[in-house]
Amino acid sequence: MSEAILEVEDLKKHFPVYGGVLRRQVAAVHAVDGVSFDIKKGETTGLVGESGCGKTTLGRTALHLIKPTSGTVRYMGRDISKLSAKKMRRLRLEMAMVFQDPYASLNPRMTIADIIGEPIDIHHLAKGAEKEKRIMELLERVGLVPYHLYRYPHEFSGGQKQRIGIARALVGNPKLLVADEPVSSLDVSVRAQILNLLKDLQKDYGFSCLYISHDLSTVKHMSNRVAVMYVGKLVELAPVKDIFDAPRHPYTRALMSAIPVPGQRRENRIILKGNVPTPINPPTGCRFHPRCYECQPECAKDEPELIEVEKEHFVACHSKKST
Amino acid sequence: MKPPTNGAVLRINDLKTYYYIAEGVVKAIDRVSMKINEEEALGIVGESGCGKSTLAHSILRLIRKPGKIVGGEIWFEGENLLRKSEGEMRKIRGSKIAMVFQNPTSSLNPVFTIGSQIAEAIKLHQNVQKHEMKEKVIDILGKVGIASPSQRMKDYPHEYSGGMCQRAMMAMALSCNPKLLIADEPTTNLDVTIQAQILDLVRILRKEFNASILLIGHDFGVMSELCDRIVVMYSGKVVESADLKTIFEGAKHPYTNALLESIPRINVEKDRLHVIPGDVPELIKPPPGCRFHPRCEQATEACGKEEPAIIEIEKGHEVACLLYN
Repeated sequence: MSEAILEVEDLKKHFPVYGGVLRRQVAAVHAVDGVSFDIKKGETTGLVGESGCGKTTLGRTALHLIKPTSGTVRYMGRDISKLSAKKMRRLRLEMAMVFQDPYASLNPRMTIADIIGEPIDIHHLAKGAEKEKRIMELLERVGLVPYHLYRYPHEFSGGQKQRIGIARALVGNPKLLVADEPVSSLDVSVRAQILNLLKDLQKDYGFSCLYISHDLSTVKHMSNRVAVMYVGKLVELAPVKDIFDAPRHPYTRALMSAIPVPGQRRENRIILKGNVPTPINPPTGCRFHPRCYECQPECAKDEPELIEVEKEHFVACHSKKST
Repeated sequence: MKPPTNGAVLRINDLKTYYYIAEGVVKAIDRVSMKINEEEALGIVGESGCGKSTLAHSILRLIRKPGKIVGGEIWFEGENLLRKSEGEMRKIRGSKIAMVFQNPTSSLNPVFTIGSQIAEAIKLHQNVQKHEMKEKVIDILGKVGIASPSQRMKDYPHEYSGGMCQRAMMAMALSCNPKLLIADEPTTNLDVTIQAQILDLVRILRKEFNASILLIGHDFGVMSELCDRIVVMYSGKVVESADLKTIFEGAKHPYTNALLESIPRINVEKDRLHVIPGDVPELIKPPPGCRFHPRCEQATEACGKEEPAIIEIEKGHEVACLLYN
């Protein structure tokens, strides 16, 4: 078994909600509410969930781009919350991020050379001709050509912009890449290009990856292990084969049966009732119990813990404890 | 001139819709022909910018400046919709041809209750007494699966979730028993589990209302759930049309095949995805000849010069590709 590059333990992020005349804190959005998992070296961990379940927040707090409310994140065995700002900045080279919306994550007033060059300057990695050479190499590696260097983001298509975002993330030879819905804003025919590129780069650079998405088909394609998130909590974590072939948690099963498959009309799918609850006031006990089709009395009272039910297969559900 | 209907609810012949912008003419729909049969669910698949939404808007004559329908015919119930006056069109919109839009939360008016918006649609097209109206609204909301409709009809759109707004839109569209329902990416903004709910609902409603459906989208999965026949569009043109099974098992056009192979599927193990090189062309200066040829693996020299005509290669299977001309 390979060792973990990132270990997340009981991570929580609550965003305050202010209200009333005095703008006091009246509630909190429990975006991430006690999540533990790890990312193994060289592997891709997929994180799936519906909108608002906290998967983006989890990705960002895991890198300390947002300060967590509580919990620890260990990067190669070191607790990163205890690092000084300076040391943290150095670490950022190794922990890179590719953002969801390539239209919004590139500064429209900077040329591509500036965008990719900025992290090189900040970390004093190279200067002058050497810097230029490095930018060129990166551009080429992600499938762009040198004459793109002095263009502005608006001159590129969505797929090309995402390539630029990826080139920027690769500047520091990252050991960990968090890719937050990297293809969801792209055209279908362009998605495959970016997914293949990410896979190729992972082989070359050997980075571990946290692949965040709501699209189960791409998660299956990209990941070695998959974590399923529901309203701020992980409900299931298992190797990709187990998650897709033998999902245990009722929510995961419903999610799997809800995926429309090209060329097939699915019979007897599990159709969940109701909506995803708000993370401001999540349901008591198991957060899925109001929509669960296997709900038992205890589910409304006790919160199930994430337990290893089989080797490497973790589930947080009362009814799965005994099996 | 009335062409025989042949069981078709809607027949589009040689439709051209262009946008006249400062940079030139965008040929969003360029000589598109298709038909929708009675009680059929037809799916139009294509990537963003291929003209699929413009097509839907053209059918209802909702194209606004700088866009214009410059040619073609749209036959519906034996009449050419393009020759109708605006007043006549208004009677058809919402009653005989209804539409559900992509973004449900922004297509509902935020300052009126859901109930009053549905009532408005009914009042416009049907002669319903005031005291019957409430019952009618409750009835239709119940049919689209809104729990306790007599209470929820008094809610405003912001009190509804995305899935519920889409249900309300559906109620509004079906309130006048349309012959044809156009749904433009009805589940794109919804979560997977909610999408499954809505698709299930459409399937039930389709049986109950006997309407033909024109479903527009980019997701082959969603299409397979509902449609009987698929039309694939690329860059303002129809490239292939066939029944669902043929599209998935015996597609002929290189674009259809490439698109199908480029999507990761839950039921197929693949280490690498097939890649379509390049980007979707801009409609303002589409490539000459076949519009797909710069990205096509099987392109020959002729593809860059000659525009392929759409040809029926077997019964009900049409392809626009020089390989089959």
